[in-house]
Amino acid sequence: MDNDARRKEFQSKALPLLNEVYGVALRMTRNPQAAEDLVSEAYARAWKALDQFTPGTNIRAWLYRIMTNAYINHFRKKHREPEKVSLDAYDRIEDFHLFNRVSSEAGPGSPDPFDSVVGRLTNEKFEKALGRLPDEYRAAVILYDLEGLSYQEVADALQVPLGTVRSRLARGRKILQSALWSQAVEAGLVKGNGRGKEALSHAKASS
Amino acid sequence: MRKPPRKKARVSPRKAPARKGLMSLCGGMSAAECEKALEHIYEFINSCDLKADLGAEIKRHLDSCRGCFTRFEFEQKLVARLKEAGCCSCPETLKARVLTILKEF
Repeated sequence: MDNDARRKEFQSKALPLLNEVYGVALRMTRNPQAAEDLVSEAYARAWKALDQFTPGTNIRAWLYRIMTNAYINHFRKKHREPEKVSLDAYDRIEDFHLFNRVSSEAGPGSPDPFDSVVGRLTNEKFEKALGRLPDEYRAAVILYDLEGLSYQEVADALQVPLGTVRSRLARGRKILQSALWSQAVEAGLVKGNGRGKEALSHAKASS
Repeated sequence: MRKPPRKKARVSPRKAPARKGLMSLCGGMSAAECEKALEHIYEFINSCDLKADLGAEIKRHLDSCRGCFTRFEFEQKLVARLKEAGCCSCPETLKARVLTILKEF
């Protein structure tokens, strides 16, 4: 494939992804100006490196890899943040934490546990909860769970081994679910007795 | 309903008291099947990393096990809601910047 054909493919396939790519950049950087800079840098890098793109392969994954590399190598060095949470505390949290908490609060026979609690959280609360995750965990969850990349594509994007992707996802989901529970407590959607309060105080103590 | 215990490291319906109530919904289904389905639940939602036969096996299990299906549905809705919460439009200034980049080089 010659360069003109590659350029056409990039223009027809990568440009329509701008909204989506910007959304991911915004969630990674949590700053609109930084997100704009990151996206334009990613498109510029991709455009200049078009000869390295294998036509017919997943252009989204390729673009996310370039953007994540740019983020890790360049942006994070500039806007480096301290770890937001004490991670060990989250290893004690079980899988399906949010489901378990919401179901046990609602009791048997109550309406759908998702719709009655989690579904009622505002977009802002979801963003706050995502913001609780350390950058590399947030990136893994966004790319795998939300953007639907494969383990290998996430590993390439984050420049870590597959096992690290899996462990970041497992831990990232726990942190996220615990943070969402705290948001539901704060919003008054659940009473949040017992462990809910504990998770909340963990999050607060380490912020 | 009883609260789940604090120390529970990984998905294991057989060992997890928190699931006991719901396990009965499986109606004689083996706990190992539930464990396998829940272990791969995010891969099943993502659908990238699951071999076709394992995906089909999990789908069959979810079709017949209400306890696991309820969890699957919850996680699937959560992922969808998270995606929706982050939907945003790229600013016009950024669109213009990117189009300029594509013209310049």
